[in-house]
Amino acid sequence: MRISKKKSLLRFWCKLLAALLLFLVLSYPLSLCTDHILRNGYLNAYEDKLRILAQTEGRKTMFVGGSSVLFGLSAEQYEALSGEKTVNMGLNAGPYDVYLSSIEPYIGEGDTVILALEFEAYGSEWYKMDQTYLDLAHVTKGYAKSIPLRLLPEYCFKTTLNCYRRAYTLMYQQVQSVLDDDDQLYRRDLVNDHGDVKQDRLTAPKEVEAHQVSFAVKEESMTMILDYVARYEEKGAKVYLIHPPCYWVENDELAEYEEALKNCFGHRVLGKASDWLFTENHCFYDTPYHLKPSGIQQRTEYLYELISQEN
Amino acid sequence: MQLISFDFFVFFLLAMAVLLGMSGKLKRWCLLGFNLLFYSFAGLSGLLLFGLFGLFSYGLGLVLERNRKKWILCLGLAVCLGPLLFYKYFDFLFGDILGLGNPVSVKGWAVPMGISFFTFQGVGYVHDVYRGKCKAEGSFLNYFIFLSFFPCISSGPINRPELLLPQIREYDKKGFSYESAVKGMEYILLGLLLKSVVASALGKIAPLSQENGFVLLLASIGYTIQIFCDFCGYSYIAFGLSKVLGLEVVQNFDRPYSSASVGEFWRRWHISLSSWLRDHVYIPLGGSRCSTVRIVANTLITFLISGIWHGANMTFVVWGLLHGLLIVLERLFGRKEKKTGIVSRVLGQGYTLLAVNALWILFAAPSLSYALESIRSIVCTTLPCLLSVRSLGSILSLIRQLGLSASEFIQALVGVFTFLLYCIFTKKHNEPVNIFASKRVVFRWIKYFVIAAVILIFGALGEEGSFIYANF
Repeated sequence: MRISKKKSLLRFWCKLLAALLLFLVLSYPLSLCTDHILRNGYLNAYEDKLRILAQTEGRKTMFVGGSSVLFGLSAEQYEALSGEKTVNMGLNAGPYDVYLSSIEPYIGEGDTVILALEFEAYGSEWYKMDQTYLDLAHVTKGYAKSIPLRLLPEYCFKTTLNCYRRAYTLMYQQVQSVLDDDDQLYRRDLVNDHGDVKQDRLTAPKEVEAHQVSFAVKEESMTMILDYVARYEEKGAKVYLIHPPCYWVENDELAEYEEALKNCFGHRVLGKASDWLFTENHCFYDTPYHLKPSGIQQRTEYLYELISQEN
Repeated sequence: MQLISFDFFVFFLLAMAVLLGMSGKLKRWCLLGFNLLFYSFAGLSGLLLFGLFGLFSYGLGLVLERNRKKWILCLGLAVCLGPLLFYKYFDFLFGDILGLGNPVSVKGWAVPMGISFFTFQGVGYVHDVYRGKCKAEGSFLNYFIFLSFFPCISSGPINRPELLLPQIREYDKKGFSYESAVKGMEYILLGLLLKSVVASALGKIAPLSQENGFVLLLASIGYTIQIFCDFCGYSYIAFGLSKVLGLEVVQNFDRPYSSASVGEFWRRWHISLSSWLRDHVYIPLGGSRCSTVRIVANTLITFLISGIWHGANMTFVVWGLLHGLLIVLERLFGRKEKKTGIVSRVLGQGYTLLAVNALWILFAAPSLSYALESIRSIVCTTLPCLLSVRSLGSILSLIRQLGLSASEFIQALVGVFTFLLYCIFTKKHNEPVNIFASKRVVFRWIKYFVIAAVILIFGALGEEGSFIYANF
């Protein structure tokens, strides 16, 4: 009797573990098939943008950065002005490593990369946060070998199982809630074929107040960006750096900041930071970094003008 | 710790690994350890209050068995109910009812997890001991396991001492039952399906305005399905977890939306609470063996308590009273349920669904005025809204007003379809998990995997882990 109880317990455990394993195996094709239809979060929107980039043949221009690119430049308008295929890769300001490394495989001879320096984001320590490494491993699989050992357990959940999107939600819901949150602004269904935001799908603009910008420059992050710039240029691409739009506030650190940028990136920095600042709040959509369509049009024209002068 | 979370998944695997293969007295101590560990995740201050409540109700049970004095019972119950009344109703009493403002607001204080449930379970035990329905539990260990059993502590079911305590006493000797564990797993799977696929998807409905009656009607139907699947899903999971661990708890639902009267609905909905209120409030008040006026008063008082138990808000008070009023009217003017024909039953089901659905609007609304405005809008504008639908575009515009994105709308449709399938399949079976029953093992496993796949594809496993009834 005792042996039979033990046997039935063993049988139960074997079946339970086998079912869990089989469940994970079967969930792979299912989640791949349905992911595109059902998920509407930040990473899905970014994956869509990478897909657009991968499908764009020939010489192209890429707008890279955070929301100052998404809500600050129009790839469609720039393409009409320049006659060159243009993709807007901007989404919510995140770790620059993620943006820069994820577009690297798609960069070719004659391409142009416009990189927007989000004042506070690129100057901060974000680039070496654990989240950055994990994001990187999610979007750029090759990066997995570079992640620190201490992040390995987390990576095993997040990256190895990221294809099991649903199961992975269960297993790592905290990370999921940050990365795959259906943010009202950064969703797959708000992005058009150029990667621009669909203006007609946005909610009404808000009243925006002037914002004190931090102009801190972190040497490590500049070195990281410079490293990517060198790699892109090796591939025959041109790289330009621009400033984000901002509802202007006087700041004494500005001159020092611009000097530091010029010293690091030289001629690649287009215009002065103050040239990209807006002094009227009616140009802004919902924050001092996000422009309305009229502001986006103005800024894209200015960018085209500066690039034309460079060429 | 939410029942639908990775943390709980690991916790439960660990509990299974320890408890299933174990025997001897240590097994009960381990079960208590897991119960307290689970509770401690919700905060140590809550655990302290829970411990004090447990000690007091345990001691009160022993005292009452030796000395069945009414004043001891009343005093003891007042102490037992004190923390619940303080945490849940202090602000409501001073602010909303007496209009005195809040001398000491408890808003923002962490309400101990499951306070409504363990208080009612403890109070029920004390009252049962007093009226001689069960013996006072001599073992402190057994009583604490009864009160803190982790699958049930956050949202019930409210277990009866005569059902659970004898099982706990024998828990050391009870060996592993393969059939019971498999059935428990099936209940967990079914609960996950209802919660993550149906309830979570329908929970995203948020009408953009109160002006479109048809949209509000759809939203109210969505909520009617959501609240059932949320709570029934939780109850299945709790029942399944208990069954896997070798303990049988009460079933909380018996197809309530197929009831032919509101009275029948309450015998099928949240059965453990309804029967608790019947045994510990309605019958002590005199029950049905008294004058008509007293019966009416007893019913209304019982449902008033039921309403207040759900939350400190006038919406819950009115919701409870209206349910009580409908039951009174059914009792006074209704026909005997057992003698009705099929047509009468179908009409009764229609009336019950309509009444319950309308009253859920009160339940879900943030205020009475909001609920009344919603009901007014449904009554007055649904027909004009429907008549104005002339193209696909206007249908899409109506759908958009539900506040759902395209993918959420697909998930909501899948949720409704899953709910309908669940209703059809469970109608044929006495026990819900008999839908898995199949002569061939392969078919049974196919059913498991189809459900698992539906959960995987459409379920919101990490996003909406909390249950509606965990708030009560």
